[in-house]
Amino acid sequence: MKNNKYNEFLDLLEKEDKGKSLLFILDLLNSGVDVVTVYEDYLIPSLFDFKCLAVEQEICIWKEHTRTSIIRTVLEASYPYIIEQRKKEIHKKVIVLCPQEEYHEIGAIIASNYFYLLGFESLYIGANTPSDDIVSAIKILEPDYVALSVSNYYNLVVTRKLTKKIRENYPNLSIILGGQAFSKAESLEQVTYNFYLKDYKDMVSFANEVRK
Amino acid sequence: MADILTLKNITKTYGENTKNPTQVLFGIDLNFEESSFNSIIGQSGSGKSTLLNIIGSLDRPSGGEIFLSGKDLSVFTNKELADIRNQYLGFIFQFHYLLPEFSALENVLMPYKISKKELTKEIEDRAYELLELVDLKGFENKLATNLSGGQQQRVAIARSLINNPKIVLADEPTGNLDSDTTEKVYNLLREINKKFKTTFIIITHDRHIAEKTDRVIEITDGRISLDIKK
Repeated sequence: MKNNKYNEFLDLLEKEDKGKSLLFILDLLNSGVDVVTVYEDYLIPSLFDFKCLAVEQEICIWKEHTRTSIIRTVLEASYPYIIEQRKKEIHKKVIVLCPQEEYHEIGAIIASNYFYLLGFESLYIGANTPSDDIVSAIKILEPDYVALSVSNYYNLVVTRKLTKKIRENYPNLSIILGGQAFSKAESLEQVTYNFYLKDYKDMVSFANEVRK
Repeated sequence: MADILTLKNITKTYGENTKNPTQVLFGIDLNFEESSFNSIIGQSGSGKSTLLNIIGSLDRPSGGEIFLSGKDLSVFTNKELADIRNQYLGFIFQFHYLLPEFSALENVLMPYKISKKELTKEIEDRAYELLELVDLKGFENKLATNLSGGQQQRVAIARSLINNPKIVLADEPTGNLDSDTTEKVYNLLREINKKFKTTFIIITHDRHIAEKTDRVIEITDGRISLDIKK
């Protein structure tokens, strides 16, 4: 939703003003705007709404990293509101992570927060998680679901091997996939999984099914 | 885009008439679009170099068909295949294989000289242009041995383009280079892909190269285990 308020937030991000960006979002949350609206209408679009002028091209990655850093802080600060607005507990555990070499973790953090909001017991493990450690985490934590967030399409190479390994070791564990790397159906076809959740709407439907 | 190269059910077995034949490729089906920028990855011994040699008609498959620009390669003699290779394909290898006693310019012109066609001013101008493209203007008359590793590889890239190939096949083109030079060589290959619409098929171990290509094909134990497009 490209409203004036959103553009105001985007201006603060364009200026790389971390403090004002954070206060802007906290003001929204304190004024009663729900956390999903803040994520869907402000934080997520701002990760894609990126101006990269040709003359600035060489600093665009730097700018992108700065944007990510600000959004990460905002996400952490929003967690009390996630707790406050959490739906009735589902009594199912999900661990969320990015596979080895996947450093884009904002999507995974958002997914983990959403899982918790929707009533799951959710644990975010981290970006760039080695495959053996993922298998160890599953052994110790005994989740009902493992959710993998993948942005870079090249990381489908390691994701395919990882999901195969998870399935071999834990045949009853459900694998959830999400992230831009799966935007093409042919990418999904080549990986072992149980559920593909594209966005919040998909996650709500999934949570409703699990509750049944 | 139309397909420039089609592989149908390609198999390869070494030592077919021996007691211990070794099959290294199992029913490979692949299509490559014109002007596409592709990478092939896989562990050592997975069959990726064998596949590239077959695509480049440097080796013949044990079974299956290859169509290059619609031509069925299986019907040609070795001599005819050599002509087709010269006309359609350019090669870049991990080691540049420049001839040390020749200059950069002479090395670039070598595929043309081998074709025994008359060396025209137009072709010589093209060699100069290609050396300029790979940022080696002023190095034309330097002996290959007096160039750095990165410069030698760039001469090899210019050489691969002298016959204006439709497809460039590259086997670990940056395998012998440091990371800065790797980045420069990658950028150069991309520029050539965009400028001349040349199709690239690059075998690489380097994830920084592979993740920048538009399609990644993974070979595992002689089979395609993953085929993804950006």
